[in-house]
Order: sequence, then structure tokens, then C-alpha cells
Amino acid sequence: MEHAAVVENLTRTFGDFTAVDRVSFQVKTGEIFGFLGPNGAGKSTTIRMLNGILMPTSGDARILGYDVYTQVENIKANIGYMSQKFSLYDDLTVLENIEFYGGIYRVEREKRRERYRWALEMAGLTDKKDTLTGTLPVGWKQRLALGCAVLHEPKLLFLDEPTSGVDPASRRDFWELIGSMAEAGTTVFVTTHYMDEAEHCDRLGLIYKGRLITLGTPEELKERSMPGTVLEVKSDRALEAVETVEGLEGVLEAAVFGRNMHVVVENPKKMKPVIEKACAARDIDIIGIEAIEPSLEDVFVSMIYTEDMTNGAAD
Amino acid sequence: MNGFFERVGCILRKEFIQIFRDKRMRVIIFIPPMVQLIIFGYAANTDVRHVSTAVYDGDRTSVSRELVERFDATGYFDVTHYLTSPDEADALMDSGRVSTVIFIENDFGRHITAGDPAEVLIIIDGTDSSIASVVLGYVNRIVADYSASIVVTSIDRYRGMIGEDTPPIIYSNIEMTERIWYNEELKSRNFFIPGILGLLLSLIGVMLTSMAIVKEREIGTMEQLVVTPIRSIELIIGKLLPFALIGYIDVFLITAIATLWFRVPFDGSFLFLFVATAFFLFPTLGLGLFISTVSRTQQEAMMSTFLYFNPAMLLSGFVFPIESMPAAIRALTVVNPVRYMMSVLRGVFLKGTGTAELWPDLMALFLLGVVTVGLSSVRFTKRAK
Repeated sequence: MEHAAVVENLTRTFGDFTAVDRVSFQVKTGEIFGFLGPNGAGKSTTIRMLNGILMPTSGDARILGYDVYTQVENIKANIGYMSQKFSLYDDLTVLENIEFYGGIYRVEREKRRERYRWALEMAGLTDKKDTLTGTLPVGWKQRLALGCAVLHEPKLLFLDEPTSGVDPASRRDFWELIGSMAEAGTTVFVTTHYMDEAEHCDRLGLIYKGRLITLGTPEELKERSMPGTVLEVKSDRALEAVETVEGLEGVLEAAVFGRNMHVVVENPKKMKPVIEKACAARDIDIIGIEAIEPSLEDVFVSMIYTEDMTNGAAD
Repeated sequence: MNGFFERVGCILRKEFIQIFRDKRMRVIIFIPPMVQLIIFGYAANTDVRHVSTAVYDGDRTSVSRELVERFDATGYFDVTHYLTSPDEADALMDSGRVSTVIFIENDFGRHITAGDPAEVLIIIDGTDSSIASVVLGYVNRIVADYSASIVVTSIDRYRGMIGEDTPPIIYSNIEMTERIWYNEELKSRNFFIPGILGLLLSLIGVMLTSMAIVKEREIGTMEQLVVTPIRSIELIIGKLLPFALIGYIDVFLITAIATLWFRVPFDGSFLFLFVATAFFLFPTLGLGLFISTVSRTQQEAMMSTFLYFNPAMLLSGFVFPIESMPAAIRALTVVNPVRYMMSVLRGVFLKGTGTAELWPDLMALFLLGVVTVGLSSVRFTKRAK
């Protein structure tokens, strides 16, 4: 099967509110597909329709070839799901949690022992198998939750904000784990609002206000989606610099990134001196200006900006 | 049935670990039954005995003293105060030191010996109407007995006066023999303790069940379960069975203490009690399930439980007899499972009745069970619409 998920015009409304609006995309078998967007954009709602928690209002979706409306039981037997809450039982021990999910998924008896040991090892909890889950740090809970979600070796793994509330070191380890699972042949569908994590994905979809606004590999998105070049401007007062260059002719966009300012321009050669001059007029010291490769964050900020502008014009 | 038992077994195992690992739960299962048993076994006693009584004896003859002794001798009345003036009664009654006052008129003894009507005034504290009516009943009996004995003695004396050879004077009176069936000693304890079983089963069934399910929703594991291949029915059975078992543990516990310690008679069959408990748990757990489908937090579930529990208790006949409720209220009790369980429990404990007499109650419980479980199954769909 070429595609693990095929989604067409999937829509979900809650009363008057359209949480997911005619979203279409495909997830290739074996890839890590990242679903990005700010909080409330419709990421979780989409995932919940695909794994059978929520009934779609309209549109179609096939998961591993099964229809989300009618073949949800087949879907459930073949997918793994880890929600942002790491849904474990705090009052059960680590091993009891593993045994519980292993039993519910009916992992084959011969395989059980080996799968449980694997899950414990993967989570780094072999020594702590009799510890109450509630007493574990968040990073360990997250890995245990992942272990429980893949005990039955699902073909497709849904991860909904798997790294929320987890420290950076654990996040890096976690992504390594995801990478190795994908290498082993599991398709991974992951949502996140951390832009740096998007770099780990093979392909990305950006969802904003319920609509999918772009789709592609990280490289494609960087090339295709930026309307200009990004200039990184180092100055002593980034905030004021943004105020200064915003609205200058030839400046498409300006935003603060860390301690610097990123300015998107159509013609970098022509604009460099213009920016320098404008800043000098307000006594802002410019330490350096150079063209950089846009990060995914630049891309998404720019796309969301454009989306708001066009929608604003349409309204 | 593919994997049915395995998955139900998984849920059951998990529930038992969780229930018995939780210190609070262990307490909830065993302590409230004990506390309620003690309260109803000892404290909530509506038997009326040792009523503090004041006497104003204006007569002070052997005749008046005999009447007072008759009150004292029954054990129902304890004469604690002898008044020297009728006015003293007010303060004693107001302060609650006595709840009954007996006034005997000045010429009581003379009237009796003369064969004239004699008067006694009894004042009873009517604050608690049920106690007052019981006391009134005792008073009537004692005074009636006394009057009858006076009639007999005076007639005998009269006969002696007119000589042995005159024909006897015929007098007759109706002698009433009392037989009380089922709760022969009329102990309120025997009436209340079986009822407690019904109340506790309701509370455990509705509250613990609804909270256990809502808890899964609160911590997010419900969502996790929804994406597993488990079916709704497997989840429901797995969640309800442990509480049915706890219900049974309490049934055994209370029955044992009630019969062995409090000596409440148990005339029926244990097997019938066992079966009837299942019939009662059906609508009760169904209701717990229903509450879990309408509550988002454990707190909401607890509130809803009490919203059900209080009227259910009041309308069950546990304290207030259903027969004396107005028709509209009585109609409400028809949908109250506790009401049927009360008659089952009192039947099996005190009357020794079984299926032959109580099948209508079991049927009603079964129907209520079908309604509550059916209703909540419809609401308890795994996938949100």
C-alpha cells in the first residue's frame, strides 16, 4: 500500500464553529508526517477523526485502506495512539500499565514477554517496572506511554503533541525513538506546535484556523513558500528596528526572532542600505545584516501572515 | 466473542488493582456500612421506653398511688418528679426534663370508692408526633386496664354485700389478645437494619460506579481506551462488575453483623437474598453508568448521585411508609428501585418471604434495569457524534 492515510475534504463542525475545514492530504507508508499549527488550529480534531474518537461531519478518510465511517474497528486494531495527556494509569505500576494495554490489544501470547521487555527497555524503565507510574518524571511517562501505544506493533502511529511539557533533552531522545520506529517501517503521523520539531519530519502539513494551508517536505516549503529573501538584522534594539522597517516600501514582513530581527524582502541588494539608513535615522546601531536560509518558523509565520491578509481581504 | 473475555478480564484486573490499592476506596467500602449499622442498630431507635414522667398527685390516697405505680411498673414510664403544685409542670415540660405529666384530681380516691367518675389529666409532649402517639397508646392501655380492674373489684364487693345465694350479676367485657407477626418484639432495629442494606447498595452502586467511569474521562484514559479495539459493552461490564462484587461483600458483611450481633431475625433464604441483590444491582449500576455519561468531573458525578440518593431514600419507605404518602408522591416511588429493594429485604429478613411473594418487586427492578442500562448504553457510545 502506497498510502497509510488518504484524507479528502475532511470537515468537522461543532455547532457554528468549523474546527476542521475541507482538509485533504495523504500520508505515505513509512514516512514521518508532521501536522503543524498553533494551538486550536484543528490538529487534535483531525487526529481524533482519523483514529475513530470523533465522527467527521463530512468528507472522506481511509486509514490503512479502511474507511473511518464504517471500518473503525479494523482501524483501531492496526493503529497506535498517544495523546498529549500520556494516558496511563498513575495508580498502576509501570509493568501493570504495559500488561493492561498489551492485554487490551491482545498481543500474541508468544510475543508478549518479549514485547513487554522491549517496551521497558525502550522507556528505560527496566529497573523501575514495579514503580507506581504516577511518581515518574514526565519524560519517562512519555516514553512509557509511547511503549504502551506500540506494544501491538501498529502499522500507523498517531502522536498528538507527544512532547508537550517535556524537557528539551527528553524531547531529543524522543525524536530519535520516533526516527528509529519509522526506519523499522512504522508510519508516524505526529502533531506539534514546536517548529524545531518539524525539521525531523519527512513531510509537513500546516493547518491554520481549520484549513490546511500548505503541504510538502521541509525543503520544498522553504523554497516554495517564501515570497522573498530573509535578512537577519543584528541590532541593539530589535523591537524598535521592527517598528522602523515595517511599512517601508520593499519590506514584505518584519518580525523579532530571538534577539534579532528577520526582514523578508523581495530584493535584498537594494533593501540592505534602505534598512540601514532607516535604522540610523532612529539611532539604532546595526551590527550586521545578512541573507539567511529561512527556518521553518520563518516560513510558517510568513504563510500565516499571508493567509490572514488574504482572508482579511476576502472578509 | 472474539477476545471478549480476555479484554473484560483485563479491565477487571486493572479495576481490582486500582480499587484495592487506593486507601480511600478500601475505607469507603467497609467503613460506611459499619457506621450506618451502628447508628441504626443503636442510636436511631424509635422504640419508646423509659419516658420521664412527672406526677401531681392531688389525692394522695392508696387508690391514686396504685394508679401511679401501674404507670411505673410497665417500664414505659419512669416517674422522675413528684410535684407539689400543678404549676411546676410547665417548667419541667418546657425544659424537656419530662415529656409526660400525670395530674390526679384531689378527690380521685373518694370518687372511685363512691363509684363516681374520676378524672386524670395526662399531658404529653407532642413535639415528636410519632413518639407522642406511641405514648398516648400506652397511657390508654394502662388507664383502661386500671378502669377494668376497678369495675371487677367493685362488682365483686357488691356481690358480697347482697349475699351468696343471690344469682350472680352478669358482666362481660371484651378481652383482646394481641399477636404481632414478623417483628414480634416490635423492635425498630429489626425494621431499619435490613433497610440499610438497600441504602448502602444504592450509594455504592451509583456513586462509586459513576465516579470510576468519570475518573477515566478526567485523566484522559477513556480517550486512550476508545482508540483500542475494546468494545463499549466490554468496557461497561468490566467497569461495573467490580462494584457489583463490592455490593455483595457489603451484603454479606451487613447480613452477618445484623443477624449475629444485633440478632435481627433472618427468616428467608440466603439464596433468595443473593439473587435479589443481583436484581437490585442491575438498575442501580445502570443509574451509575447513566450519571457517568452526563457528568464531566468526579465532583459532578458525586453531586448527581446525591441528587438521586436523597429522594430515593425518602421515597423508599425506609423511614416514611409509602402507604401514607399522597397519591402524587406515591406515584413517584414507582420508579424508585430502592423502594422495591426495601420490601424485598424486609420480606426476606422478617417475613421469610421469597420469590413466590416478591416476584413483582423483582420484575419491577428488572424493568428499571433495562431502562437505565438501555438509556445509558445509547449515551455511552465510544465515538463522539
